Amino acid sequence: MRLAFRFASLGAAAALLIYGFLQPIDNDTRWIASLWLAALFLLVAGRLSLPPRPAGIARNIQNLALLMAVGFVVLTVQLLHHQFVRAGDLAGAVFVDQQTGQTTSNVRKVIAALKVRRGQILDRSGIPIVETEVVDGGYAVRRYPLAGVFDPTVFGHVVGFFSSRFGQSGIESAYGDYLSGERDSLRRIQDVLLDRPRVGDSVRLSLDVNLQAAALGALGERTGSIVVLDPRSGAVLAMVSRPGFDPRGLAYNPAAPDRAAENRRIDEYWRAINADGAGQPLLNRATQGRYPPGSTFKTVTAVAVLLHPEQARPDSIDCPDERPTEAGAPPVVNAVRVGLEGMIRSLPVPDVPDLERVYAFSCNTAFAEYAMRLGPDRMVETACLFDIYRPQDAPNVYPGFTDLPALPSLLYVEPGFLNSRAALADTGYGQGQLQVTPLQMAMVAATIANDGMMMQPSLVEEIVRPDGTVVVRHQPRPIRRVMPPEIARRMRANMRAGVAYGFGKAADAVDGVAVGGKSGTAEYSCPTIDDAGRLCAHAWFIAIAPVEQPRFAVAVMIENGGEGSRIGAEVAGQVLRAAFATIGE
Amino acid sequence: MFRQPWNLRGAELRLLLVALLLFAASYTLVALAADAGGMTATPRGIADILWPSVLPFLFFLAISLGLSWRMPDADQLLLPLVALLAGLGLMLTARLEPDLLDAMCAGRDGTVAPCFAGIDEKQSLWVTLGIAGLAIALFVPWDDLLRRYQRTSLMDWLDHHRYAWLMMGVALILATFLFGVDPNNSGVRAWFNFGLFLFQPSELLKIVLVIFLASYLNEHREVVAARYQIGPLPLPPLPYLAPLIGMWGLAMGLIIVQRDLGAALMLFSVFLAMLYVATGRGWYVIAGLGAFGAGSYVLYNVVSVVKTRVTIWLDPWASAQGSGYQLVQAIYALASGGVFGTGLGRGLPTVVPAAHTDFVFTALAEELGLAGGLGVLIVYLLLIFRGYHIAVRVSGRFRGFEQLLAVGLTTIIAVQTFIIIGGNLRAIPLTGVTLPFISYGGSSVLMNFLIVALLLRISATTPTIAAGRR
Repeated sequence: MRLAFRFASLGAAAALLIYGFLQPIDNDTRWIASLWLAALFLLVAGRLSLPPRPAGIARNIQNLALLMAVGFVVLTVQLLHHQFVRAGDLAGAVFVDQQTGQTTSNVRKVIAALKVRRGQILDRSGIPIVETEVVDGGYAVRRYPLAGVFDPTVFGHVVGFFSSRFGQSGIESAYGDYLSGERDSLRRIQDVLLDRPRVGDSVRLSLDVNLQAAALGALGERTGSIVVLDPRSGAVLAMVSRPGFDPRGLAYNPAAPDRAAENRRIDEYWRAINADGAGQPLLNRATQGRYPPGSTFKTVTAVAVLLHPEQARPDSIDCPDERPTEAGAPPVVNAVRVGLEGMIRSLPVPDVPDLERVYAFSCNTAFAEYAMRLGPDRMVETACLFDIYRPQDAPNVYPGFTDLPALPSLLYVEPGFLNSRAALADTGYGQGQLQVTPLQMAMVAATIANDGMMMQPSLVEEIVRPDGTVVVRHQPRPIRRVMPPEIARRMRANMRAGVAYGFGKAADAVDGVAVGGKSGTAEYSCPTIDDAGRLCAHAWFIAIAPVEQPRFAVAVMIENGGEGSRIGAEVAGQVLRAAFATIGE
Repeated sequence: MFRQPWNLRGAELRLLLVALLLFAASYTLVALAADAGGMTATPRGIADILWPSVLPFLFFLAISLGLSWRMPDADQLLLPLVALLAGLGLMLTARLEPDLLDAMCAGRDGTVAPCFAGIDEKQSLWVTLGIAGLAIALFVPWDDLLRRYQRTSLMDWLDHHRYAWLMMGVALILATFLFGVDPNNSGVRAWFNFGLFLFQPSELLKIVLVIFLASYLNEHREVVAARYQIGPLPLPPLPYLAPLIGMWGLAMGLIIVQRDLGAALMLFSVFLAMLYVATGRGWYVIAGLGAFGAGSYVLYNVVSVVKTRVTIWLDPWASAQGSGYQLVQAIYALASGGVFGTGLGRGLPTVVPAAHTDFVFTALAEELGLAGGLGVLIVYLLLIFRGYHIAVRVSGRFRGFEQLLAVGLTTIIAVQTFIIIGGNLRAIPLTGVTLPFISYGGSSVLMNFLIVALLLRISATTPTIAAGRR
């Protein structure tokens, strides 16, 4: 009986302690309660396991000693909790005061992090974009050597900022454990034992600094985004988003003469870039901005048409000024309100409309008809091949691109949207409820350029340890075959037609290189007080070059930029020219 | 060869030598870590660095040799354990001093100087004085002197003058009420300012009260343990429970007037422990705890300090930048230490305010890790068990006073250690008491050495141990 009670008490104490150990650290009143309850059980178990003694002072002293021992067991368990069981969580815990917004974190972690010599971030040819300088006191400061050469904001979204107060973004965050050397646990132990400063791995990107700068130059001060991919490997050659931020503004220098002023400087910059009117400079529009793609989406519809020629009948099409869809819905109209079919029938030589011509002249009514012929299922199927998801299938982040935070692109937003013929028709020419990122449109172009094989986009080429050994070398990875090569070839011809004689002529800016492309003018409502029904338009352009064997795929998106065939095509042409000039074979 | 005529205390001496070597090594480590390059590797340079820690240890060895001569039967484990803890204290003060130099205080003449400059040497001085006190208490033939002039032995003399001790305790409390100062803005007016040094009267108070209680409870043991029967209700012998009520009042008074929760908690716990050991009545303890709990609850609503401490204990994060700062930083320090610690000189223990006094245990556990922290807990537990062991071994019905005194003195160390480490670790609400032998501070070190001296004296005259002598 005694024995049974003893073990029951011990078991209860152990169970309580395990329960307590599992409690989250921000709710550890429960832990303290279970600790003390367990102590009571331990006291009972201890009392039962002591040999019985005759009443007297000796027995009283024994009981007192038992009480003290249990007290010290409580201390031991608490020490175990703080220093072993939950040590990692507690040491890294950050607490935010709900009222004042003040954060409390472990200063040791902050100081240790300030001393870590993070690795470099290099461009494709090894030019350092970010490096670490060791200053007084063994502190390390993030430096941006190209900030004086190019616009200091040009690499902001890709490399990200590194701040001791506001965290990290971009590559600094996604590859933080490599850059800080945390990934290599063996070397960390060696560093600790040998008292060496921690040196992180270097990350070499696929980005080309000159192309990146040229792309930013082409975009100018406009709000928007440019993505340049190598279609054969998926490598991101340039990724620009405007407005941008200067990572120097958030880089803390612990050796600054006045630390308070240094903190104030960073605080002010942080407030400035997070201010309401600042246009969200921290948002990487290339991967996190979702827009209606406008007519560039006709590329996806055209692929669907070619994948299902029996239903869609690609070359039996017309381009009326208006196409009715269903009762009660306004008919689909073209951007060129009247007489587009006449243009299509006459240029470049008189002929009947076919897929190439309606694509080159971006005929809305034709693509609405194609979409209605295909039906929602086939539209969804093809969009999904391009990783443009139905809302119910969409993941929280786009899994195809993991180097930076990226949102998935959506074919529509409200469930069941495509069941209406009007919605299906709108989606077919790129309006509807489409929500697509510039990266995704660049991938559409790149897939066609790569003979129908969609490659996983990637930003990191290799990761190199301080001693020069390569930890990670990127291998191009295909996502899936979206279309057979002959359809891709036909699509390239269609895109070439768009630039050669269609609405994308402004993109034909590279001497001796055949550029293919598709413009897009994505209308969205931007009501003002005077005009509630006012429409604005994002300018889009996707391009590939050279059409026969493309080496570059470009997506240009300019918020509220007007017509894609003008500004979009122009910027795309400039970017392509810079790409051929800066990146040799 | 020395064994027979000297009764050389071999175990004690060997353990002390081990502790000496340990601290010579760790102290060198601290000196190197704190001031790399400042040390010259000449014998003189090393001696310069080592003397503040090694000197007290040499005195420990002298005490051990002296005990071999005067009291060969005294307990052999107490002294090495105390030496270990005092050595840790010295080492930690030496470790923390350079980091504490940043804190600047305005002196009395208006000049600004580092508050904690020279605390290493001072602590070394305190430990040396403590050892000197130990030597005086042990080696002056008090029994002979008192027998000659007072016709009584030391223990009987202590027993006999119980009301003098009580008066002294009350006077000490009254004096702190009147003259207490609060030198480091902790909200507790628990120090006397003697110009040259600060003295914490609660450190003396605890010993004086333990002597009184041991004497009182010993004399009235039977009566206190008996019960009155009024109808069906068994009642305690009310007149003789005056000390119970008196102690309770004392604890509450300390909290109300001085805001000294730590001392109140400690004194009351020690009292309950002694009452239980003397009477064997668990109900007294429960009643006492109940009364203390009720009083604390009332005070919780009346005295803001109590409420603050409990609130911080339950959720330090809510006030992480205010009153909970110290505890939050202590938890970060502990968690950053991990299993093996950051290593001496490699952590940031002084981020926690009062790292060298109230929060010395977190400083230790940060740099020496779970391993070091558990080691220290074990040393304390050994010391406490040794003290109770001494109490149990006191035999003969005429030595109840010594038995209760040993229990009380040991319980002081036990409870004080538990209160401060438990407060550091957030096992109980934080109340400021010193960590015996380790915390920086003169009065605490001196009084703790006095406790050890009394325990050693009690153990030296234990006939059972004497019988075991070869």
